[in-house]
Amino acid sequence: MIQLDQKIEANEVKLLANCTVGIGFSYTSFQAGLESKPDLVGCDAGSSDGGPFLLGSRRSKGGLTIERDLEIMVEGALRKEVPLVIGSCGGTGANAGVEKYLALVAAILSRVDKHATVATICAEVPQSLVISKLHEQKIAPIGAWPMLREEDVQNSSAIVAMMGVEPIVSALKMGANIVLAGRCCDPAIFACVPLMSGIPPGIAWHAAKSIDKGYLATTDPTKGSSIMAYVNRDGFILEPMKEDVACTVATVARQTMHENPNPFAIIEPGGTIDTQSAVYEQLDPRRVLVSGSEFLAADPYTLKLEGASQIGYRSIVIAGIRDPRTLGDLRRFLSELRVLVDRAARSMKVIPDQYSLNLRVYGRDAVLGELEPEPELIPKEVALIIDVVAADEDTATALASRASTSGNRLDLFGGLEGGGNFAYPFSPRVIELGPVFRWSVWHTMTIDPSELPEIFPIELHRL
Amino acid sequence: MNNRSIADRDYERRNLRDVANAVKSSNAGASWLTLDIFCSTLEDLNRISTNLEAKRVAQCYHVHADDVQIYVYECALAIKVTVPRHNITGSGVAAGDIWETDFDGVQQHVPLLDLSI
Repeated sequence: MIQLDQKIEANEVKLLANCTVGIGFSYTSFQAGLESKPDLVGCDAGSSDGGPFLLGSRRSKGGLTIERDLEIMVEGALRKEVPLVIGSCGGTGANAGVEKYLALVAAILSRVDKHATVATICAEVPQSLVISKLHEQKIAPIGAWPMLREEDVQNSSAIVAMMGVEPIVSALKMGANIVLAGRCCDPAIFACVPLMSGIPPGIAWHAAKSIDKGYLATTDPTKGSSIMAYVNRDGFILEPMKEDVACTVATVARQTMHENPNPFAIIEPGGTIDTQSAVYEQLDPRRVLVSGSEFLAADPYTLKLEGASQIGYRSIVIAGIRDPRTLGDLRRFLSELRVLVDRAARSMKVIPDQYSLNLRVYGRDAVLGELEPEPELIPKEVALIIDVVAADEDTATALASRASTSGNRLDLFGGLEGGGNFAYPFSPRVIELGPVFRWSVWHTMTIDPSELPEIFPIELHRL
Repeated sequence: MNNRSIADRDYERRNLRDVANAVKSSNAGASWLTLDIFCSTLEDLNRISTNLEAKRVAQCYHVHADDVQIYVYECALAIKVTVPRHNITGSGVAAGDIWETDFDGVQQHVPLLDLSI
């Protein structure tokens, strides 16, 4: 064990990782990591978990927490002359997010009085490319998603492709100090430097996957520790940079399985991390050594596509219900309310397929829906969310408003006597949530690797 | 059968929430929901992996048993269960669609908690 440990220290690449731009990390642990002169600082900035809104509305995430995290990483990386790679800029990795991050980095550089060569890598794909790939039958659904139709592509307000490691390697070879990547798989942020150093791909990718959520691989994620991977040809060691947290075999192995369908086969752009032969060893109370993983190159090469399209506008009303008589027969109450709303819609000449009414009952089954194991329990109080999605905002708001007044006055059990059923916590009652989106594209696209530079164009900015 | 010890009778009564150290759920992209069951001991891990049947998981998530993936990841003292995301909201193939109740999928482990193990 000690021998392997020494071997790794003798000929290693050091990768310093934080979790996600904007959710914070321990400043002192990051500075401690910089002191041992890493070969790369990396951090992811995006996710599709939040749903299709950001991508569809072509917005991107910014704000003070993002600026704080970025500034510490930009300043530190430049001071120590270490390349910095940020993936999925702006939250979705669409072009607007990359541009926003470029502007943020430019402002930071002038604040800290430093210069840098910044590479941007865009990841939005034009509809024409996706449609021509569709005609060539090179688009396949992921999981049980439906087959892609041309209209899904045409209705998408944005489509991004998730890049692997190749565009980042190219940007670093072009001399970038800072790489701002569009949509990017998280491990590619970290796999680039070890792969450039000749580390076997199985080791490089598994090391990258282990640190791509930063402090989630430690015993106490709330401490926000930066994490270091020491990688060489034989394996990698993980060590948290904060003294009072540890990496254990369980915390590291659990990071490998995080958010993936299969812990033994983790699909990345260009191949699959095969962890079946991985060995995790506890070196000392704070460090774990991992070896043995393989990387199975994909043939043909596929990229994941994400696209979003608008389906309408949403307006909601939040109403509290506390009266035991209403709660005792809530299903009947809500189905009566639905009848009233449908009737009102007809009187307003809104046809049924132009709106949806979703009555979400928090306190009963709003979180689990049809999977709720105890849907018949009578709650003490509930929050009813009247959720209307319609083709235009005026219709959504009119129907939500009508559902609210009709439900408030619905005297199903007698004796309402001009009172009301709904306790409203907010004024205004009707809350307009704006445009609503769906995932219109959730597919893979087969390409030839020679197409990568065109799909993920790199631009250098000397700032 | 008559000579069952108290421990044996306890064994029959326990649910997943009592045996596992933690159970969490998350999206594995928009196509799958993945449920991670963490244990404190190898004994608990073996007990759960022996008794966790795809058929019963399928009933909890209203999916076909053939679509339930179960992996024992011993080095993490964990079991991963992956099911298609599309039936969870009852809205067809549409994670993140207008009927979505849990975009990140982080509260969808609850139906597993009371499976007898």
